[in-house]
Amino acid sequence: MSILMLDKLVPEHIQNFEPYFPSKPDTVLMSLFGVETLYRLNNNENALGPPPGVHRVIDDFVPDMVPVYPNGDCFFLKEKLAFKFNKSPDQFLVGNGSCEVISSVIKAFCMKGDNIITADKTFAVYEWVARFSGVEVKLIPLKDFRFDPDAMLDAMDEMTKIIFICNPNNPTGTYWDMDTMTRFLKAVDQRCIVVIDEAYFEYVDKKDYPDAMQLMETFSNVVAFRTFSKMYALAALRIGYLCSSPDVVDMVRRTHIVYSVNTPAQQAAAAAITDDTDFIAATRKMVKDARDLLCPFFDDLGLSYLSGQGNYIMVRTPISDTLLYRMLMKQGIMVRTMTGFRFPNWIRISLVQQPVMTAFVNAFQEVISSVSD
Amino acid sequence: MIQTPSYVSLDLLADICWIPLVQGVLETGAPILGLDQGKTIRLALAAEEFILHLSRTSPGARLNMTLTREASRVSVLFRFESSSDDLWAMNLTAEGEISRDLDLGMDHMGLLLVSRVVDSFSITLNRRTVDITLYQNITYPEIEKAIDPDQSPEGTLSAHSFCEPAEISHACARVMACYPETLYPEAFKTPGEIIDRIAGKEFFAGLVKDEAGTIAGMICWEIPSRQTVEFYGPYLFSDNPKDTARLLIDLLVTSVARTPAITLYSRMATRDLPKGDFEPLARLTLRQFNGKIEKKTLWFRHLKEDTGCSVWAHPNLADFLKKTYKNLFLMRTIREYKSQGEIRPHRSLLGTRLEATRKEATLWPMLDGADIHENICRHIKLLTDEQYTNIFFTIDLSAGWQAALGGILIQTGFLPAYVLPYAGQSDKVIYQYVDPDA
Ligand SMILES: Cc1ncc(COP(=O)(O)O)c(C=O)c1O
Repeated sequence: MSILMLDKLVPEHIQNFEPYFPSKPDTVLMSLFGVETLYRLNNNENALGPPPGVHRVIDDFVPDMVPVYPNGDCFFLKEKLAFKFNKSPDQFLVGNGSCEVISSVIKAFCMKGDNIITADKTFAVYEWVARFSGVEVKLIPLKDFRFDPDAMLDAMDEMTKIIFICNPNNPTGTYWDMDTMTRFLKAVDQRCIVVIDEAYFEYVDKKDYPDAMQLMETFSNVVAFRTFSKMYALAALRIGYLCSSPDVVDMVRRTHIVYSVNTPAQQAAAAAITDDTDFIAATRKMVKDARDLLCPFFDDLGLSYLSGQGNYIMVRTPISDTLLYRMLMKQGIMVRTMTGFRFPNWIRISLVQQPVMTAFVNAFQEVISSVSD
Repeated sequence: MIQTPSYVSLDLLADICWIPLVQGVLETGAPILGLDQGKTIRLALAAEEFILHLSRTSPGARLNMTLTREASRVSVLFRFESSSDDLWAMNLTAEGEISRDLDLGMDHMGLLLVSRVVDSFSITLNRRTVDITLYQNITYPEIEKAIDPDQSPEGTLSAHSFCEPAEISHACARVMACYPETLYPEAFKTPGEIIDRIAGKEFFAGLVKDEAGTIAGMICWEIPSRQTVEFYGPYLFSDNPKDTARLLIDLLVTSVARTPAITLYSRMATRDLPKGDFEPLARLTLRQFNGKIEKKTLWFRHLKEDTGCSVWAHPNLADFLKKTYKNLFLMRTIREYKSQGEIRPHRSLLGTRLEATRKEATLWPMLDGADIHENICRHIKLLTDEQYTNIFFTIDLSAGWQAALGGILIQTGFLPAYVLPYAGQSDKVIYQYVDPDA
């Protein structure tokens, strides 16, 4: 028998790729860190839980429904989305989380030698999927914590297939206003696809915030991403979608796995967007109250922070973010370290209900005092 | 120009009849890959000795030999499968036993000779596949220190990860002028090597420059194992460096933040490391070749959230680990384990990495065996006879049988020096040999 030389079989871009290792289950973490409660402020989940309609759908999901495949194309949900956003169902593609549609878009438009453009300090999945697909990634540094439209345009070349804009940006909370976005789209001039990831769309309450679903009426190369994981609190069900012009969606559909979205997810998502006004208002209030507590607290400590859109806030820490993480975990508080977002010594905190925010404030205060002693 | 990687590969059987072929391949191939004649001859000699060794200890074994030009060196990899009963023969010290077993007298020097003839050499084991790699470094010219007049950086400073070879070379010369030898890698004296290793993506450098393009500082790093990054610096070239150190560290951290690395550490950090960014890991005492004692602080930080893990530990290591983990706020479930008198393979195998210029040797256990105590003693004797003054023994705490060596290590003169988080499957403990005669 000859010897298996894996390094000669596996493409270099796969050998060099770092598989993402998700965090351990909460119960395991609690036992390792020796805590009885664990507050999750790391994933920007909506701590209020899903809208009331979703509870009914989940309660009504009975074991008899398990043997049957889900609808392969999310038929009813797409009708609902089309009705809500005044589009046609063939403008939507639903995925197992919006992460799945990131992958489908890259597969549809890119091959070896092509490139995508995004920012260096943003949601990592665009970059990851491109890398493990063997596609070049051009990372444009943020300017004043925002995506830099001019530098992104300068980076474009004939091999650029997709530009990913996270609006508002995770983790900085900054956004491009209507004016910046339209100027940018005009300058791109249909030369490539522009993905506008609006994962935190429903949290933004700004008049000048552009809506990608509207922009695609003028710019048919715009693809909007939305998710049910953030505002609608369906993260455990894994469901998100893209919306674009029918021709673009038709191309992406070819690379998209059918049947990847399960039945309760489809039903819960449809229920979530029915009559969601009060729910969104209540969530926004919770986020605002949390922000109003944290900003003056960080001011008092003299720490820089970024408080923009979305249900999160970022703060610069006087010690390494990864050490701070371990120290806060010992107190039952889980935050997101920002080194992985290329912001060394910053943490991101999800904005949730008051009692939990108060617990965070107390733990943070204690940790910071202990290291400055 | 040599294109990297370039290689020649040969499948053969472990039999002395192939020695002329192997020599032919190396003697013609290595010079094409950039190795000088003297080093080529030594490489061919080492390969001959290795084939001889293998043909005696595993006659007829199938073997792949690959000669490769790496960035700044030429390597010969021998890959073969071995039954666990035969692996002991890959010990650096095996020649005595083989000679005894085969009644060969002194002519069988085996791996010891191999290790003496080439610049460096390593053994790794992946299940039953053994990789023995011989390395010969390309020879590069040495440079002089650049004792420039102190020049404060002007205007806005910026960090750069793409650097001109000339800038790297100049920065190395500035480091040599501004810092003691113990604080930078030997290869800074031969920057051609650094430049080639950067081009081969084996070594990385970042510079901070001012508006006029004057280099204000440098930081370097490399990736010794999948989950660790080791850095050197930050090196600052002016008495008024402004925020050069901060920019260099941020460049380093953001460059490695989205790699598989979890632990970023340094055994050669300068005192310009920004406060608060790193945690002290240990204070090491090293003995230089000239007998001078050198004390070094090791610094580290994590690049990812450490959500804890379980480690095995010999009972005599448990207190050291508990104290270390508490100081570092690392969550570990320590499971104690020592040998329970179970049946073990007859003979053990130790891996060895030798750094001849720094007189530093690192051993690690590759296969457990009933003779491991004697095997470690034989290695210590050999290394101390060869004037190695800094001998380390690393164990991976993810493996119970390695942790169980804690008892033997203390008996053979080692003391736990520090824990390097995630340097192996989980944390590694690095023991240091304390020479009773020193
Ligand atoms: C900007 C952004 N896009 C997409 C996602 C992924 O969402 P999903 O859960 O739908 O895969 C996230 C989740 O953190 C996000 O922050």
